[in-house]
Amino acid sequence: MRTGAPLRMGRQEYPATARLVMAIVNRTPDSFYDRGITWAEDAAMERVRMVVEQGADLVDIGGIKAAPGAEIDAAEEMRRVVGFVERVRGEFPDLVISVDTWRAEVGRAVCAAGADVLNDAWGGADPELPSVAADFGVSIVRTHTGGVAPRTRPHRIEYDDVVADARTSLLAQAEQCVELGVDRSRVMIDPAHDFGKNTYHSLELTRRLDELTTLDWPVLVSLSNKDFVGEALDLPVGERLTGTLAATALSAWHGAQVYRVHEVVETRQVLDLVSVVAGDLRPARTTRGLA
Amino acid sequence: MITGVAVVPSAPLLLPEYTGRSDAGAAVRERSVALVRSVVSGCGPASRVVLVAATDREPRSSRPPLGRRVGIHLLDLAGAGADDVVEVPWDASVAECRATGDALGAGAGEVLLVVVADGSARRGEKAPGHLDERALDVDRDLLDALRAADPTRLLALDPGLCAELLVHGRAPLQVAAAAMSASGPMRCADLEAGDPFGVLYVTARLEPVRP
Repeated sequence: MRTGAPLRMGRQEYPATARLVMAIVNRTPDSFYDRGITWAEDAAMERVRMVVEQGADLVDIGGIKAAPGAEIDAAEEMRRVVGFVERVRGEFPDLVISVDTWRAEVGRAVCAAGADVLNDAWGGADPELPSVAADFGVSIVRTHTGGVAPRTRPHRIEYDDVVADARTSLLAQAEQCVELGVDRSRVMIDPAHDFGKNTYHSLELTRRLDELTTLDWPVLVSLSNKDFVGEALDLPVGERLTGTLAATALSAWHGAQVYRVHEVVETRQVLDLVSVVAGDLRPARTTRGLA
Repeated sequence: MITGVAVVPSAPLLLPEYTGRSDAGAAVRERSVALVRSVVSGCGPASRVVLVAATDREPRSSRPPLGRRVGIHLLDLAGAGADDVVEVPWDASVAECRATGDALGAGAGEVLLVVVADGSARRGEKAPGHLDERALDVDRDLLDALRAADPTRLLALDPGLCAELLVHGRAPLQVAAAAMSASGPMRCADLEAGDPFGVLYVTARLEPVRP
């Protein structure tokens, strides 16, 4: 069992033993899992309220689905997320708000609207994004995609050693953020399961995640209902929760700290169970054999 | 001379190492600490505090018995400490309890007893020892004896039946009863009982009858 590194997001400070739930909130009409259920702003706001109530530590707001599809330019992406970030900030002054974007232009606008974290899910596709994080003093997630272009599917990609490739890339990206002025405790690294990877790559990253959690950067994992879970079990989207939670438990034991998820309640339970087993959290209530 | 008696539960869930994020024993602990505090302050500084607790029924570890640890913890929370600890075997005979108690009560100095003692752990189907309907009668005898501050009735509790019913406080209570007999008449000033987890917890304060 391992723990990560101290982490700061917004005004919050988290110890290396924290295991945090980042709830996905899509302002998209076409994301793979929720298929547009929170596309309308009011529906997205309702989801924010629900995940906060369910115990999410932060939300990750996205305006573009990861898979290929209709082109969404920066202006349209901003229309989808900037006002919404402002609205969430207004209703939840202390909630940590992350925005999933690779564009510096969008990053700048959402930071001005109150975002605390830039989730650079496409591995530094826009080299200006870290400077935005530095300028606004917000946190940033760096990801390993093997250098693929945003919104592309991997096709016949091989690595000599995918974990080594992720390690090298993530260390370089994280150090670059610090050089550009981002506080060290505000930089997270994410091996980005399925991004630029086939299922074997994502499974190997899961198996050897401790090689990333021991680098002294907080590790974020995004496993929720992804294809590597589906292919591991031959299950379609909609039937991957159990597999997702199993991968979550393994990642937690390896020391990952932030979990980007669709299902908050179930993830919270898994993470709390791991924390309790690890001795990082007291059990909720104990009377068995003790009355 | 016995200047006061506090009876408190011996549930391990009262100890910090066995407390979860939500504290299942909060109410019982709070009540126990308040009671110990009131007995200690009522007796004055001249009284020696003697903790009376049973050994573990099923010892598996080298740690001190749970009853002793719970008693010391409650005293600590009450801002007091034990000057002496009497550890009585949980299955001590009435004669053994009587001998130990006589010595405590007949001494010249003032002695305050903190007795760590529970009733039956077989008070319901979810109780640690499952339900044994005889538990309710035996517990009633135990509580009546405490309410009456009657050492004779406490000493009449049957060790064999109490063992069957997992009455973990029988021996410590009989030590206290013998001490009270040797010291002088007492009255029950306060008693509360409950079984939130199928075990009878008692918090009680006994004080000498003043002429």
